[in-house]
Amino acid sequence: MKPLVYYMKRYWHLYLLGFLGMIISVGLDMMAPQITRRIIDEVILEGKTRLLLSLVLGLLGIGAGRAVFQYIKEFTYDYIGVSVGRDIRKDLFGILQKMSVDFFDRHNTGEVMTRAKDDVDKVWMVTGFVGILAVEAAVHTVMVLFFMVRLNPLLTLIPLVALPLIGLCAVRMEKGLGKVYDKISEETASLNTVAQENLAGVRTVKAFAREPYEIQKFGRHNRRFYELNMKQARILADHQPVVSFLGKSMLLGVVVAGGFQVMAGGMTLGDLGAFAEYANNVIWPMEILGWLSNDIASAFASWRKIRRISQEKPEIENPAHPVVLPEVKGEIRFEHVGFQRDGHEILKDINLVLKPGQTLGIMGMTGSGKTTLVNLLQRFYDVTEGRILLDGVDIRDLSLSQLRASEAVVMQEVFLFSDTVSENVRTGRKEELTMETVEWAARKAGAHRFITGLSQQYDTMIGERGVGLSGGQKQRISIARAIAKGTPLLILDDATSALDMETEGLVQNNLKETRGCSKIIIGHRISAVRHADEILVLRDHQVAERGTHEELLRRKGEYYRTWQVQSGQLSERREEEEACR
Amino acid sequence: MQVNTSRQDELQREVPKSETLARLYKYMLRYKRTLAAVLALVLVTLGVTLVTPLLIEQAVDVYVAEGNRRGLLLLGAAGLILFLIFMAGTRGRMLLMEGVTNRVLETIRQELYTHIQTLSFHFFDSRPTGKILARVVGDVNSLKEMYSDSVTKLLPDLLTVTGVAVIMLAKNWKLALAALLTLPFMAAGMFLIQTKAHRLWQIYRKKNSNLNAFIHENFSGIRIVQSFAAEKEAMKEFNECNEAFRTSFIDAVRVADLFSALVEITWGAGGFLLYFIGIRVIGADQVGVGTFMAFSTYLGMFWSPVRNLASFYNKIITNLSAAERIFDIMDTPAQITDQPGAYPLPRVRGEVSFSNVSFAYTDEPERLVLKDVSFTAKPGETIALVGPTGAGKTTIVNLISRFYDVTSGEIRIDGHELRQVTLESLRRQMGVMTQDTFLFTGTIRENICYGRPDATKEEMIAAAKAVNAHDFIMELEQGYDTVVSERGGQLSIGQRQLLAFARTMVSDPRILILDEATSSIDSHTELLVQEGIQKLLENRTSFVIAHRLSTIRGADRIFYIDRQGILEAGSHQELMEKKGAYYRLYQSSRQEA
Repeated sequence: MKPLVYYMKRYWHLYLLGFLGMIISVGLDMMAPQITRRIIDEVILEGKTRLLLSLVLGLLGIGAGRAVFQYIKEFTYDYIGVSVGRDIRKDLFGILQKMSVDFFDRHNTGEVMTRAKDDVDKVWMVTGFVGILAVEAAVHTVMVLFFMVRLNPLLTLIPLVALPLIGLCAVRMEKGLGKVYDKISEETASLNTVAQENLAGVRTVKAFAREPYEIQKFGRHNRRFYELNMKQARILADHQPVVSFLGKSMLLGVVVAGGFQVMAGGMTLGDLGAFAEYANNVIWPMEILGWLSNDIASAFASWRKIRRISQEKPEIENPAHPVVLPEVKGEIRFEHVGFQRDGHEILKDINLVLKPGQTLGIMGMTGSGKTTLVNLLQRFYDVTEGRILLDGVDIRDLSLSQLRASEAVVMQEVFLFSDTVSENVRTGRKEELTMETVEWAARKAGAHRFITGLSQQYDTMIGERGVGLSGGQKQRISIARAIAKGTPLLILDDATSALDMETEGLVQNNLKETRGCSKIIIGHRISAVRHADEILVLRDHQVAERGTHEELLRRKGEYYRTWQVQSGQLSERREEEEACR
Repeated sequence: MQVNTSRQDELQREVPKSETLARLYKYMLRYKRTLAAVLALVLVTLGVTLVTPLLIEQAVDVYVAEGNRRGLLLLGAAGLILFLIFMAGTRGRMLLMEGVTNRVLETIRQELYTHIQTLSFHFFDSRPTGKILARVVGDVNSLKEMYSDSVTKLLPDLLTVTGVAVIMLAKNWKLALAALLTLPFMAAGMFLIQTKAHRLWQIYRKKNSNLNAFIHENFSGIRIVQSFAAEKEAMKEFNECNEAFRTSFIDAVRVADLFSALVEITWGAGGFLLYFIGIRVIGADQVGVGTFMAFSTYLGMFWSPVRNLASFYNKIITNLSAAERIFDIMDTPAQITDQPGAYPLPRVRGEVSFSNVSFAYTDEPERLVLKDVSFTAKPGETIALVGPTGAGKTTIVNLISRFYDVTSGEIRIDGHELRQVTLESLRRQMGVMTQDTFLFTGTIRENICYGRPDATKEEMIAAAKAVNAHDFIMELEQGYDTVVSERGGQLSIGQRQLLAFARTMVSDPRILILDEATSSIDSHTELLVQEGIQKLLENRTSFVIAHRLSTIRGADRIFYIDRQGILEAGSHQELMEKKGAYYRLYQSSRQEA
């Protein structure tokens, strides 16, 4: 993120406009006591009634002028604030979106949301309305003091003593509040996180009838939120009344001391009236000082958090001078690829070659690193050893957009957006894809039939995470989405697990027929990988067996055993054995 | 089906504003005593504020005019004491009032959250999580100022306005009337502005909620966004949401900012009338300089609360829509609840019987998913449900755990009708493994013991061993104390499923439901899991939705679900001999393998 000033600078002319509006309206405000003074001194005491009409018309004019300029000021600053907020949010969103997957492993959605929404809102308030109010308070104070000095320099000593005391109070308060706001903002994030997790896991919560526990858990955070807010209230209560006290006492002091001066003949009654009115006018800026420093403190706390999160370095970055492939053929090569994370070995010495148009099957035990392979291919993480080549180029030398645009992945965990079916299928290519392509992809994925059975067919809204559909239906839409992307490389990570056997067979046949694209199919079922040109079996983070279906069956290794289990032969044999006994 | 997206504004019932307000303040009335104390303190501080101009008038008109130095000094001292009282009073008022406000917010938030927990899946399915979140955190927070301001600002402001008017009228009613002549005009102007502003603020709140929802969803699905290189699209959509949010705010303030302009102009007119009528009509000698000065102060004191009242009204308007949205959720009836007179289900043997069960989702009442389904599962029996996707397998198991209520017919467990027993006692005896494995942020231990936090360490380890999760857990650096997150972080999907298995095992359910739960575990692991489960299945009735032949074959009975009901039922042997739908399914999948 750029410094805050950068975002504000863009609107300098509007700031200026608002500032002018403010200066004029404050200036008009300053003139009112002058007029009152003249009414008292000249009209009432000296009896110059001729002057009355023009003086009171002056008061009316000041009111009208202030109305216009106040509006200009307020509207301008509201406008600036929300615009600055928009710009900041836009940049922040752009930055966050480019963060690599490891960033999102560290920061959960609730936290990211708080930064992009609540924190930006607070900054917005300060760059607009609140900020200008602070400036206005300062300008107002200075101008009032100026007029006071002109009226009676000696009497001005009283506000000059009171003001620094009030300032001191405000500074102390700001310090205290700053700390509390940091904590409040953290707690807001945890409230968000707890609630978000609960909502996301609502099925699990209900299945275990654990609502009371969830309510309690939320209650704890809710209570802490309350306590922190009370802490804030105490800090405010310790300071704000003192500020009010100082302001009121100052006014009284002015009248008493001024009274003595009038009695001594050093000042007219009208002057005292005007001076008192000025003193009255300097109280409000002081009183809102507390409130302002409160808001400003919380905004700065938010801004620091925004900066901190936006400055985190993503592990995966675009190369400075990416190699551009004019046409991607889809040849994949792993050369001695290894991957470690947090000191754990996840993949070790993986070698493979996938020629354009060929299909590679990958099987392996839970946790053997199959999904990591896919993550590495998309550069969600970078290899820690060896290299991965696409069409002979190290994928770290390609731009992320070219790399990812040439691969389509169906992930194990289905995520669909709250949008229509067709928009979901179009993800990543919203502008180019025609309805025909969408339908074609859906047919290939075996999804067309059930989609046309939905209330609004392809225009049916599917909720967040694609709920409202069964697991198999969601999976088929996500397969359609990948097919529609039309990339030279298609990767299916256990993508047909929720389909019944008939549908799975159909989808697999369709995929087999899809020419001109290399495929990597990860699966637990032999049926998913048996037609592949080569099948790798991973075990203990390495390739344990490799070959075609027939070759692997002949080896009578793990693949063979899996085949036995899945085709039901193993249990049949067991039954037979038991029957014999 | 009405599904809400981030691009769509939410539909909202229109509720009379007074009703919402009354409801909001009901929460505060629980703290009558504290509020009474706050009010007393408000009166004290208000008294001081009102008396201050009188002090000044007295000082100028009497003591200064008479040259009474002693009186002036005494008055100064008295004023100082009053201000000290004012300071103490304000402090007490702030603390008490903030206490009430924060407590009320805590209560509302907790009630809202508690209510959300009782809502059915339909509620969660029909709107993005982000929108629900916005209510629980943001919307509730936005009520804060309204609550505290209504007691510490609104009431004193109203009292100030009345008090000032009374004092002015008492001192010089003609002058007072002159100064206050503009009041009706201002009231009319305020009314006009607020009517228009209300609608605009409502739009603003909706755009705000859309923006929230969009950000939430985008970051929940960030992997898909990046993997599909859809950042530009997301950015475009975000910009639309962001821009709509900004524009709606600007539209609203364009009108709302007229408030202060209105106040300024009436203030100016008030000053005009005060001096003009005071001097020209009433006569300056009748009034006195001190009174003019006091009136001019009072005039200031009069308009600033009016201005506050206006902005308070503004605030109420803005926040009322937040309140409306909160109450909207609170008023959403929980469809599945304990019926009056529901009794706890005693520990069951596990006989599950469906008699003439039909089911349709509430939003599509004419489309029956199940029609006249009847069967009885004997205690300890394992029933496999097979059939085409979307045929209603999941619906059947959802009905057993009463995630939905039957449309007609009834379901009994050990003879107890499901709707007659309490939900908690029912689900406690039910182990449901859904398609999505969800783990909570916390240690593995906490996750495994989620359904039964009082489980001993031995029980936990036994369960983990039974489903073969123990070994991989022990390989983790911190074993059972390893922290996992929402997305499971370092765990593979299969490992997370094993944890979910262990979690179900620990809760020792009488009836077990496995909904495609093993589909992501490799066959090698599944074989081990199957062995473990077989042991635990003993004496448990279980319903298994599975796709793998090995799982299906082991079942006591197999139901082939299609065309709104059970098309075929029987053991593997029986169904194979029948050569029907199941036979065809079995053959085709065997060929595949």
